[in-house]
Amino acid sequence: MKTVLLVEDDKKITLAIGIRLKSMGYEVASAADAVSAIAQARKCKPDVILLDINLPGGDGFIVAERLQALMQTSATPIIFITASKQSGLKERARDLGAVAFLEKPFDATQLADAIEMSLYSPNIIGDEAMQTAR
Amino acid sequence: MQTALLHEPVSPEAESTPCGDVVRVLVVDDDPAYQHLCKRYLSRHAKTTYEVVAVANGAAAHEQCKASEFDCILIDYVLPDLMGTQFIDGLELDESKEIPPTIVMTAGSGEIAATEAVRAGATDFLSKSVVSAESLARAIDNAVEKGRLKQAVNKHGRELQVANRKLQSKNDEIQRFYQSVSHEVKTPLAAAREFVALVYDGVAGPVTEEQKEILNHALESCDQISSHFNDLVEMTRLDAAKITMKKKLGSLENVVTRCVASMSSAVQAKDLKLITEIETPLPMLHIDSNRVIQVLSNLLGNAVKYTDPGGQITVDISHRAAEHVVQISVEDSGCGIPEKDLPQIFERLYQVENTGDEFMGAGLGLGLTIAREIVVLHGGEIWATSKQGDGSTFAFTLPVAESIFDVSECYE
Repeated sequence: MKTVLLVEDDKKITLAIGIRLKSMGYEVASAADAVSAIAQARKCKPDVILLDINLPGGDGFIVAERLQALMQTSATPIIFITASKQSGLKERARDLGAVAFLEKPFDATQLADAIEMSLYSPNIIGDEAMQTAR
Repeated sequence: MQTALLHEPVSPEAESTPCGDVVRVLVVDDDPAYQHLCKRYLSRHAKTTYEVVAVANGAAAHEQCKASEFDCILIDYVLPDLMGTQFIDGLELDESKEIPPTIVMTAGSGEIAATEAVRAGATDFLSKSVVSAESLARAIDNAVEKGRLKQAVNKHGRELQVANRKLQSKNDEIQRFYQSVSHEVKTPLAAAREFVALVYDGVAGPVTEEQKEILNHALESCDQISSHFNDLVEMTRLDAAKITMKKKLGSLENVVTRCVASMSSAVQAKDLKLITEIETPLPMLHIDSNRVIQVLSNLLGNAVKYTDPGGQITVDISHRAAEHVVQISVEDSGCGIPEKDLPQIFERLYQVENTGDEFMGAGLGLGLTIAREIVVLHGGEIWATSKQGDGSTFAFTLPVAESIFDVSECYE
């Protein structure tokens, strides 16, 4: 069973996406801030990380950089999720090598597509994958 | 001097003199005879009282300027230590102090020297050979007045700059505010939408078709809220001129195909007939494809929304060669827009007055305003024609790329 680490500070979103991921057949681990995100990632060695950008204790980009610098998690695909409309976020995500960038709210199909792509063809990073939710 | 001050207010011509006060003049000339001449000429003047300080070189003049204020400086073109024209450049005063208006005095009629002087920042020039009491005083008065006007203009300029910076930062603040409001609303909205979607998808147990239909309305409403907030943020970014078009050379066919495809489920759901007429070959355009898709999606979305089931929508793309534009129009067989409302529908948050018609209640929000801004940023135009009850046509133009060589970006 593949494990998804969900890093998200909103409890309700964590709950909802958690249920969704389990219904899709994934094992779910979660973290609600930047520091525990890194600790969780080292502990549970996820197959993919869903990473919120606005996080307490350091934003998602910092978390991504740390994870990429750690041996255990350097190759773990990252999918950014955000409700922010700030400009330049998608570009930063792309520069960090994220597999996908999902704008909240996103639907289950988008989530499933992003996760499957990151698990089975993580090297395809294209506009299609970076497509934002509408 | 005291006598003069007592006299000034009663003088009938006092108003025409600069402020009616004492005018402090600094004469910089190494010729004591000329210093004396200036003093004598200026002391004769009936209308204005001049207080003259004379020094013999540039260094002394600098000292004087730092130590006290002058209304005008008369400076010789050639001084022992520097050229009169260098004086202004070398003058370093506090930021709060304005450099006084400076008149450069030339020996001959020297036009070159005069031009050089004005270029260096001198207010005026005066030929020593033609100077008289009258012309000297007039030149000083003019220079003082000019200096005063310049000071006023500079002051206004600075005030405008300050006001402009304030507005800009206010705009940025508003933009950040909307962005954070949007974030704060969309976070719980995303959770709410997902909970509904979980039930809809049967994750929490079987759902009946009837329940699904109700839940689907909830999902649509969630999407509507989120799209309204996106529009709001987009609009404030457009207002703050924070959006730039990433234009590349491309063709419209791709744009149209993508838009039509994204609409297909909505079109099917309402049993609408969507016809696409593209004139071929179309010229290349210099466009930000994603932005043009946004415009066309908005127009198509409105057409779908306001056309009754079974109606027809036509997307027509044609090349208006004479005007060097490509025109994109979306025609629907919907309820139409009252003629009096047509000019305003692109204005932000404009809503057609409620007259009981189905079209009216919905409101057009910001979508059309954003569409217009994007079209304008492409150098095109957007407009609408309609008859109430007889469909509407929304059309916009995009300029044709003049040549593929004037485009620095790569081919899309």
